[in-house]
Amino acid sequence: MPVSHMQCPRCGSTMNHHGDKVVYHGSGRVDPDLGGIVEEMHACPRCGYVTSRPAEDGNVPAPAGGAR
Amino acid sequence: MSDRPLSIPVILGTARQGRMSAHAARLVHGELGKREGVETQLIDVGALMHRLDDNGQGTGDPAFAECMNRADAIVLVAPEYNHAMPGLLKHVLDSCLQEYIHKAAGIVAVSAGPFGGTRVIETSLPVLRELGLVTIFWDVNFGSVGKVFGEDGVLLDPSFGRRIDKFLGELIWMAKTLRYGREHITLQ
Repeated sequence: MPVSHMQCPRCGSTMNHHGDKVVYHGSGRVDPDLGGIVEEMHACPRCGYVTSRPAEDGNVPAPAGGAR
Repeated sequence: MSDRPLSIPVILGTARQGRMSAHAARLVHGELGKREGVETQLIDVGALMHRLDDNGQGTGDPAFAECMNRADAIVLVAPEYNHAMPGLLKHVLDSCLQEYIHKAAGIVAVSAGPFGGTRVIETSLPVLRELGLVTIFWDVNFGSVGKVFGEDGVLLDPSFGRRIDKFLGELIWMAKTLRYGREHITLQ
């Protein structure tokens, strides 16, 4: 669960955290149990804009590089 | 429920010269445009500005990424090249990720042979799943496509009208359902 809600960068509404996905490259922190960076997926109920951010908890620093 | 129209772009997945898939894409795009509450556009992968010296997220056409962000569902019109989708289509799809999560996808398969592109559908499903898209169980299969359309792109087999209608009905239902879920149902 996200520690804080995201605000839509387009319209400022509070976004809904609707999913998580493990990715293997990026600027986030690697979750030691899941083997990758947990990316939270957020959608805006007002304008529909979608975006993501690395999960705020449960991760440790990512190694340099990533999947190539 | 939001009163914004559903956004459902149609992606023509090949840049090959003389592509018959263009006829299929224009047909589906036209039928989609007749649906109330749906806005659509036809995206030609051959017209996008994608880098070929890199790949992955963030390397693609910004306009394509914006369109995928706005989309509630996508229609892939994919010819079957050696049992799989064209490499250019895969390259384009790989340029986004967060834009696809919990959105609907339907496949229109095109084949010069008699099997209607069933193998491009089968080999595309795990790709779409990994991208976070939710595939529907209706497909449109244009087999022996050279006999389905005239040289001017006119549909010669009217039975495809009903198949496309069923396909779009399911896709729109899934698009509405997933939009509601994305925007209102919080991950537990």
